[in-house]
This record gives sequence, C-alpha cells and structure tokens, in this order.
Amino acid sequence: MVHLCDDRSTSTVVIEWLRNVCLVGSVDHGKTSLNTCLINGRTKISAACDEDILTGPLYNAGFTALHFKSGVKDSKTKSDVYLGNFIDTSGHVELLHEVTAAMRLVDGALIIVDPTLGFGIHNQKALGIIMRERVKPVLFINKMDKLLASKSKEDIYQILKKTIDEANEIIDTFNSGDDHMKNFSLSPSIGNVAFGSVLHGWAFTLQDMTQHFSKELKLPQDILIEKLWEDNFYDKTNKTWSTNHSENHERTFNAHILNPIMKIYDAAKSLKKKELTQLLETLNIKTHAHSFPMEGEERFNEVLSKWIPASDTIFYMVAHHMPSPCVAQKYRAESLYEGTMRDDVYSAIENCDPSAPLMMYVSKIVPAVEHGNFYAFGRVFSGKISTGQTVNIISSSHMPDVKEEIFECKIQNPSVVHGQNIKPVKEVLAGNICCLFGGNKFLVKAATISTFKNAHCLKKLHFNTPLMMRRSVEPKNPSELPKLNAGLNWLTKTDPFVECQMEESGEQTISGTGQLHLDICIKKLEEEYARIQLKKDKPIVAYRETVTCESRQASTSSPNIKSCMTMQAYPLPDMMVQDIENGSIDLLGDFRAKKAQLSEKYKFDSMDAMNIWTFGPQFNDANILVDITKGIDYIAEIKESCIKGFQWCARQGVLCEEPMRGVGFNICDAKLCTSPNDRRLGQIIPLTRQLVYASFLTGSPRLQEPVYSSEIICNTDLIDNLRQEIKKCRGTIVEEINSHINEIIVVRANIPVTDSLSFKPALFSKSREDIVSQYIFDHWQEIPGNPIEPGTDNIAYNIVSDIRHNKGLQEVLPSTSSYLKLY
Amino acid sequence: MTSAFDNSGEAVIERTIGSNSKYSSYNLELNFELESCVKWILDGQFKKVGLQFPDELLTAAPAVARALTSKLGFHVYILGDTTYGSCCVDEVAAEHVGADSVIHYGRACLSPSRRLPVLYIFTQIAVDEDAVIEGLCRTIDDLNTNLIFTYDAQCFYIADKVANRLREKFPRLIISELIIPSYERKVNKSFINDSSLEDGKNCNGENGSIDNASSVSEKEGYFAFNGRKVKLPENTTLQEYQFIYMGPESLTLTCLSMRFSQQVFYHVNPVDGKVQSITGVKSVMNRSAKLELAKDSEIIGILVGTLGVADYRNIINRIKTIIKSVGKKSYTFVVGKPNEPKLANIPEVDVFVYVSCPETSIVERQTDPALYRKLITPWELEVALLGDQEWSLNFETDFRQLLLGGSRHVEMSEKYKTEETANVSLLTNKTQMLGLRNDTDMDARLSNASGTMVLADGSNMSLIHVGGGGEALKGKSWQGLDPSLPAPVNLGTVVEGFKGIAAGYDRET
Repeated sequence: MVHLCDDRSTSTVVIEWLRNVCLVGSVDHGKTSLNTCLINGRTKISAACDEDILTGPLYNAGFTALHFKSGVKDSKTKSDVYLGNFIDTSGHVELLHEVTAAMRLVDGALIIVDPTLGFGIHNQKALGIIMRERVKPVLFINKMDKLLASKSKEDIYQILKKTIDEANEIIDTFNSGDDHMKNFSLSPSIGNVAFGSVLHGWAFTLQDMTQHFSKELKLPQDILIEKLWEDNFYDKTNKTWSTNHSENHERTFNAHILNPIMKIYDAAKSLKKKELTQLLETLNIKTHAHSFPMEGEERFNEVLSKWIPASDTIFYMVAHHMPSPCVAQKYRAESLYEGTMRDDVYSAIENCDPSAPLMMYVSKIVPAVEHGNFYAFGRVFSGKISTGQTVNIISSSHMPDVKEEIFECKIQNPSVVHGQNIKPVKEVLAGNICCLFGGNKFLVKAATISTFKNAHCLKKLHFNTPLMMRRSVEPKNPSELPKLNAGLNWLTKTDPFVECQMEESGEQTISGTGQLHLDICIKKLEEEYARIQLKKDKPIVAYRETVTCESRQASTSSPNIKSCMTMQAYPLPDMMVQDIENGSIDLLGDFRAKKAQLSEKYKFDSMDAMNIWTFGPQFNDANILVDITKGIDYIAEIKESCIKGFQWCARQGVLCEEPMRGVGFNICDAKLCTSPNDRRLGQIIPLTRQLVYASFLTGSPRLQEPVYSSEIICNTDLIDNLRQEIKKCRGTIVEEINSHINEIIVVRANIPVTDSLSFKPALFSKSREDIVSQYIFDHWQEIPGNPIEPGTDNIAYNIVSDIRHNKGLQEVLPSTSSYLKLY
Repeated sequence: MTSAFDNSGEAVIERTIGSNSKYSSYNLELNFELESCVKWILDGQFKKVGLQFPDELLTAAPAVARALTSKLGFHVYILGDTTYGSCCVDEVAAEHVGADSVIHYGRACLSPSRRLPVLYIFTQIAVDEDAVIEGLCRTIDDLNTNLIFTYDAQCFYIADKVANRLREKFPRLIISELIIPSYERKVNKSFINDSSLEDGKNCNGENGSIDNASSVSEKEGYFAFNGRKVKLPENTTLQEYQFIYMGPESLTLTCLSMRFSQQVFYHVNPVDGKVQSITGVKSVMNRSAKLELAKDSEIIGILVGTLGVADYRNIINRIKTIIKSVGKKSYTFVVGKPNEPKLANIPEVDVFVYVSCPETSIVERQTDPALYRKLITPWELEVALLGDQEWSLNFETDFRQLLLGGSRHVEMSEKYKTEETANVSLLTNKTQMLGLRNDTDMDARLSNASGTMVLADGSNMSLIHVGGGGEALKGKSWQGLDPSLPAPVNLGTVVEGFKGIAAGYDRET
C-alpha cells in the first residue's frame, strides 16, 4: 500500500484510489455547472468540509482536489474514499492549448456535451488531444431536461446515439490499437456515458438504472445493461426481447429509461401529487412528494436530483471508469517518454515507481496573487519530489543531445492541491499532481524535472495549431519599455503557447492562436504583468511561402568566387507536409526509421532520403535541405554552414520574410575551394542564401494563408444573413446542422483567417448577441495569383507588397538575377 | 547618406566618381581653404602632412595636393581609403607615411583623436539662407519656442549668420557650437571665442583629451554633446527645447535625434529650405531588440572600429570587465572596415560590441539584416548587462561618456560580480542566463583544468578549454586535423627559409 503523501488529510489515500481528471467541454455546454455540482456534491458527502478551502487562490485556475466516496467498498483496502484532482479547462476552441497542457497532468477526461448543439468543434478537437495523450475519456451528456421537454422518446434516443457515435468516430481514428486503449470507446452499456442535467443536479448511467429494474425484469444486471442500448426492443405484453423493431416492440432504452422519467416529468408538471407519490414509491425513492414545495419542471428536477444525484453518478464514473495513475502510466509511458523503451526511466514511469528517481513534467504555470510568484503544476511520473532536493530542470526548448537548457537547482515548497487551496507537504509521490510555489526562475511554460542521470525528457506538448495571428504592442509612454519587457517575460512563462517576440525592428509582437487568445494575453499584460497602458496595432495574420513546381537549377559562386553550387527547389508532397506538422513523423527519432517512412510513404528516392541534411527553420518544420550530389570533395565540411544559411532563409522567406512551408531544396552540384579557409561560414552562408532565394523564385512561388474552421450557432431566422456574410468573407459553408430544439442552427464553415477579422464585427453589428461563434485553425490554403507579378487585381502580389511595406523592406521584390550575379 | 559600413565594398567600386560630382569645377581656394591650410602648416612647423579625403572627394585630392605642394615647397601625402569611417581622423594611415600632422577634409564627427595634430577643413556646402529661414518660419508656428540651433559641420561657415537672422524671428533661439579638438603646438592658447569660430578655424581647448575640454565647457555653463556644446540660459533644462538641424541628411542627425529622442528635430535642408520634423524615438525603440540580443549571448565579440578615437583602450577594458562579471566570454577583434563575409567568419560570436566613433557605431537598419551577427554600441551593452546603467530614451552613441568623468558613467569595481538570474529571452523564447553562479565549482574546475595535462582523446577536449572556446569547438563537426593520424606523405627534412618581412626578404635586397 503506497500512501500518496505523509499528511494529505485525515484519511490517507493510496495510489490506487487516486484519480486525476480533466473536465473538457465547449462553452455553454455546462462545464462550470458540472464543477460546481461536484463541489456541492462533495459538500453533501462530508459535512466536515472547510468552506474556505473551496474558495482558495486556485479558484480561477480551475484546480480542485476533492475526497469523495464512490459507494462501493474495495474488498482489499476496506476503504471507499477516493481522491480526485479535478482540472477545469477553457471551453474556447481558440484556447485549446490550455487543454493540451492540462492533459499531460491527468489520466482521465470527463467530456461534457450539450446534445442539442451536436458534439461540437471544440469537443472534437479536444478529443483528438485527449486521445493523443492517451487519456481515457468518459462522456457526460448534459441538458437532458431540455430534450425531455421538447422531443419524443425515439427522437431523444437518436440524438443521443448520434452524439455518442460522433465521439466514438474520433476515438477510433486516434486509437493506435494498443491493448490498453481498446476499452477507450464510449458506450452507455459499459457505463462510461452518463445522461443528465448538471444544472439541476441529476444524472444517471445505465448501470444506475439497471439496479432499479433488474428485479422487475428478472434479468441479471450485466445482461440487462447490454439490452438497454442499441437496437434492442421489448414487447410489454408478451414480455419478449427482440432485436428487430416491430409494432409491439418498444426500444428498451425508451421503455425502461425514458419512460419512467417521462412519467415523473408529466406527473410533476401537471401537479398530480398522488400519482407522483405513487410513482416515487414504485421507484423506491424515499422521499415524499409533499416535501417538494416547488412546482412544474422545478419539482421534477428536484425529485430527480434526490433520486439520482448527479455528483454520485459522476463520482462513480470517475472512480470506476477512469484509471488510477499506476494503471494509466502502464500504457501512457510510451507516449510520454522521449527516450528508448526499456531503459530505467521508462520502466520507472511505467510502474509509477515512487522509489525510483524523480521524473516530473510541469505543464501549467499560474501566476499567484502576489506579483512575481507563481504556481507551477506538474505531474510526478516516478519517484518523489521533496523539499531541498537537487534536481535538473530541462526546459521545453531543450534539444536532445545538446547540453543547453538544462539547469540544476534546489526544490522549494512542493505542495499539493487541497480543495482549492495549496497545502505545503514534505514530499509528493509518483502519480500525483504537484504544485511548486514560488518564483523558480528556470520554469518557462513547461519543463521536465528529473533526478535521473542522463534521462531523456518527457515529450514536449504538441500543439496542433500554428501561431497564425500576431499583434504588435508598444507602451503609450515610450520610456516604459523596460516594464513592457518584464511583462512580456511573464506572459511567455505563464501562457503555454503564446510567443512574445521582439522583432529586429524593435517591435514587440505577441503571437497567438487567434483574436481571442491575443485579446486575453494583452489584457493580462495591461492589467497584471506589465501594468502599463499599451498602444496596440491591428492583428496581423501569418502567411507561409511555398513553391508549386520544380524550379530551374540555380547556380552561383561564393563571394570570393572560389566555390560554387547548384540548387533546385521543389514542392514537398502535401501528405508529407501535413504529417510533419501533425508530428506523426518523428523527426528527432531514429534516423533509419524516419528514412524508411519517407521513402515508402512519399516516394522519396531512398538515397535522397538518407541524405536529408536538415529540416527548417526549426527541426520540426516542413522544409528540407537535401544533398543529392555524389562524390563532391569537402561537401561534408560545408554542411553546417549550408544548414545555417538554409534555416535562415526558411525562417524569413524571400517574398515577404514569412516562413517557408513545404519546400524542398536539393543541392545538385558543387565545386568547393580546396583551401578550408576559403570555404568557411562567411562564404558559404551568402552562397546558400542566394541559391535558396533564386531557386525559390523560379519555382512559381505562391503565398499560403491560414483558414479557420468555424462553428457559428445562431437563430434560424438569421441564417440568410449569415450565409451572405460568409460568402462575402470568401468563406465556404461545410455543414448546416439544424438543432433539435429552440430554432437554433449550427453552421460549420471554412473562413480565411484574414477575412475572419472583418467577419466577426460584421456578425455582431447585425444581430447583437444571439450568435455564438468559435474559430480554430484548420488548414493552409493557397492564395491565387503569382505574388511576384505586379498587378492591381493580383491579390497575392498586393498582400506581399503590404507585408513588405509593414516590415520596412524594399517594396519591389528582388529579381532572380540579383541573387545570381557573379562576384 | 554614406555609412561607414559598406557591405562588400561594392558600393565604392560601383560609385561613379567625378563625372556627376558637384565639385567638378572646384574652387579649390574656397572649398578647401588652402590659405588657412598653408598657414596652419607653417605655424605648426609641420614637415610631413597627410591629407585625408573621404571617398567622394578623392577626385579633388591631386589638385589640392599639387596646390599645397607648390605653396609649401615640400610634398604632402594623400590618405585615401580610410581604415574606418571617413568621418574620423585616420591616424593609422598617417603613421604609415610617418606624418606629423593631418588635414582632414569633408564631414567630420569631431571625435577627439589621440596623437596627431589635426586641422579640420569641412568643405563648405551651399546654403540658401533665405530659403532656410523662410522654411523654418513656415513650419514653427510658435515664435516663443525654445530652440537650439544645430548644424552640419559643412554648414559651419555660415551657421552664425543664419542663427543670428533666425534669432530675430525666434528670440529664444540659442546656437550650439562645435567643439573642435586641436593640438596646436606652442602657438597661443586662447580659449574659445566667437571670433575664432567665425574664422572657421580651430578653437582650441587645452592640449589633451576632450574630457578636459568638455569639463572646461561645463564649468562655463556649457552643455556638451556629440562634439557640440550649447550654453543654456539659467533655470532652463534641455527638456524644454526643440532642435533645428541645418545640413544634409546624415548620420550626425541620426545620432543627435537619438541622443535627444524625446525632442522634436526640425531638419532643414540647406539647399532648398525644405523642413521635416523628425524624432528619434522610433530609432531608439527599434534598437531595443539589441539589448535582448546582448543578454542572450554567451560569447560577445569586441569589434574595434577605431584606433584613433581617444580612450578606446579604456572602453575596451571596461567592456571586458563587464562581460566577465556577468559570466559571459569576450574576444577582441580588429578587422578594419567590417563587412558581411568578414564577420560571418566568426560564427562563434553571438553579438559584437562595436567600439568606434559615435557616427559609425550606429549601423543602419538597411545594412544590418545582411549581417549574420549584429552590432551593438557600448552603451547598449552596459544597459543590457549592468543593472545600474538604466535604459532611457537618450541614446548614447559616444562611448567616452561611459568612462570615468563622462555624463553616463556608472561606478563599477574590479571585483564586480552579478548574482545569477535567469529569464526568458524575448527573441528566442529560451532561457537567458545572466550573472555568475554563486558556487566555486566552476572556478575549481577552471583552476584545475589550466595547468594540468589532460589526455586529448576527443571527449576531453572541452575540459581543456572549459569555459572557453573549446566548447564552441566541440560543437563543430570539423574540428581540425587529427594529430594522432599518421601523415599522408613522408615529411621532408627541415630547411632554413627566407628571413625578413614579406615586402622585402633579406635575400632579395
């Protein structure tokens, strides 16, 4: 029996009884109510709960730790007290990176969904993240009261089934086929799907219901539960089961689940007190109808919350359908650890071994009330963390095999979450979520903390979206610039994904995933981190530069005329670009595996695949430099210089200094000077840059713009306006889903990010606030037109000259020949 | 605008000299003030005189030299292709011919030089007085504005005249004076007075460095900046003033506007009287990224851009101490006129501190992007690394102000050590370390490593150079020849070679 920590609370909890849970759900689907519901439910369970720990400093950070009972006693430990670390996440799809950061800490995700609005874009994307992190999902279908009030039973069933199927579809696509992940799929008959209304405090799983009906139907619970979902029908008169629908047969779900609830609903609503009392008796609900003073729907909800309280149902699901850390880490280890399998670190993580050296991942940093301090939340995967321990902090920008970005320091104040408060403890053991309080200077965004010698890092968080919008800020009062810099420092540390960049022009730019994200960052900057007034520029959308066909071979000589090289540019296959960006090609992993993958999947010449020098501008971006020369003297010696030159170009493309995307460069031929001094960096970098630029320009270059996938929820009468607006913004409607109630329509559309800037205000000005819209990056799209051909109606050209103007570059694009001039 | 920082020297080669020059029909007497040159040489009893011309005046050089020779009766030397910026006196080139004095023609930054007596001939440019005055009156509405009148050295000859006419319109205008360093021998040491200024001659401080000159000026109520000084009326501060700058667009203006970036500069073109109002705030803000660059760097190169400006050794020593105190490494480089290929040959260096005269030290944004590693000024380095040197909107281009006695000097003891701090770099979003760690581990390793022999088996290379260039070397794929490998060919016998220097071996003479 392993205790989590020495003095956690009155009742000690062993690791098998620990659950780390993340709450996921779109805005307005009821996530916050769920959180409150849990806290209230907890209060009901143990009266000795201190009120103050539930309104602690972590209230806004969304961290809560609760002890709860699941109702079933473990036969071995004779205990039924679980400890749950609950993390609430943002419901805005633009803030999905927050979800990504939270997923690293937990083993289970509770997804809450409003079936009337469909599964939703946020939940779709979030589920992808959940599956990638191998976190086990359970589903809570909310707002059942709305459905019951307006739909027929069969309709309700179909809506529910569609929602669950949608979720399963995503789960299946991400499921790697690992044994442990087979039971990840959601099904009411397993019990990992709950239905209810958190706002009104009631919820049930089919398991709950079978307890009530198994006697009546004379079937054991485990058989009955199978029959309560999918196409199972029940003939009331003959008491027979069937899998085919016929007139006498009613769907079992409708008959046994929805029927009683509907009856209560009707009785409560129509004030038939007698009937209600009778019903309650048959259902063995030990309350009296007259103890409910309210009327109508309120009474119905009150009855149900007594009968099937939501918190009990949820706690049961959390306890029984989510893995404990030691179970989860068995299959998560593979996706967590960067090093090879079967080394010591790996097995320590796999076994969640508290006696092994420490491995911990910090993924969320929350500023504390006092300026200058923060709470850094991390998950201890193996070993234990204690005060005074000397550890290595491996920052998230660390590259393997490089010694940089590893810092040694001493741990102070490890704490755990207690309620919504922080409680300092002596040590925190594997499996738990630990909070480091204070101002540890080495923690930026995320980091691996370890005491293993030579441990690889835990995998970095992978964010699916690029940073495609940036805004430059400057202080209203120029002399306050140092304050702004300090503030930006803070922002960089605490936001998991934002990038604050000082341009070479001295501009301070903040790059984020979208307008909302940027707005939040700037607000924090003004009010909390820098506390100065800012001048803000308009948001700028990031573009990418690419080529569309094989270029001419460009060749030129180095500045000292002693070496020359030939280079050719060509577009990379779309699939490959996407796979690199999704992170499904492990670029840092085993060389041979990577190369085999490249040559098989994308028809790369296997020799060429072996000679890929680098990816650029970073090691995980989709541009490559390939050496296809054969038998050239000294070429290995100039590799470093070429890579430097290439990465410089890939970061600042020739069109308008935006990054390149999906471009491959082949070094076709080279003749290098025999004297090492004459082919040093100073000669090779200019040479490489000129060749990259020249060959890029001859490969019919194009500009790519980011496109949002957006979800707009509005009233049906606004749909015509909406369609027009979308069309105006060069958008295309992908899907229109008629919601099941309230005359609401959900529209899914692809809108270029550039135009979405004007789209949003247009929306609100026309129809005020009856429209909810969410945006998330979807893909890159080519802008029609050749950006190097001047022309007033050439969109691409205009965009390029605009950007060049803004960046203070020469407005006329340099010609190919200017790069190929011979010295 | 000529920058001293030519990218590849290409601009110089491609520049068509002479054909379109406005000096095609030189009035030598007027433009090059031959009379005063001769007088100065004779008064000073100089025997070998170097004539320093900027590139654009080189075409006139032979004529000037001929005229002077005929008047003096002995030869003078033309110094072309200045080692550093043409605004500075090129003492190195002068020493090559063993000159005992230099006459500097053309625009000058007026940085005091160390050794040789110098006569500055600014070569006048045409000024349309009426247009200038009219233009300024049209732009500046409030006649009671506090104004400081500054001007390009080439407009020096007429500055007082223009200023006096302007003062009729703007009663609160004051004129700045040029501080012209001078090293007159034996001759009368009269202190600065207006008459000597009007003559376009050297006004002289005491023989020595400008520290004396400026401190003398300050005693007299002068405020000195960028080779200029101004006497402010009592009870006024510089903040209350706006500036007028007369002259062509030049680095002098850039420097001045950055030095007083919160003030408005009315830049008036002397030829057509066009007035532009500019401020340097943007330029100062634009350069703020360079501070971050300095903080990020591990190895800082000290790029010596002058061998003439006084006190350059002091500032280099000071910079070295600062860099060491924050746990970074420094190397000093002298490369003559820096350009892209030259600097790119030193990729190990993260950023260069450019020690040079105020005007060359600001590298334009246009040339800057081509550089693999960026250049910063000494003041920027101090702001970035020294906690006490505060950033402000008054950009200091003159490194001499950072030294003891300068207006921006910050006290720093020899054993100054900064405590270790870490932060996020805003350029790379990586961790940025400053200061020294408070443990003796590193010191011990260092002292152990130096002195003891270590077997160089490749992996131990970095131990030898721990904390030095060895780490950079280890990161390279090409680390030089492997001495353990046998030589590819049999080595021949060693024979005695030539002796002497390459220009003429002993045997050749």
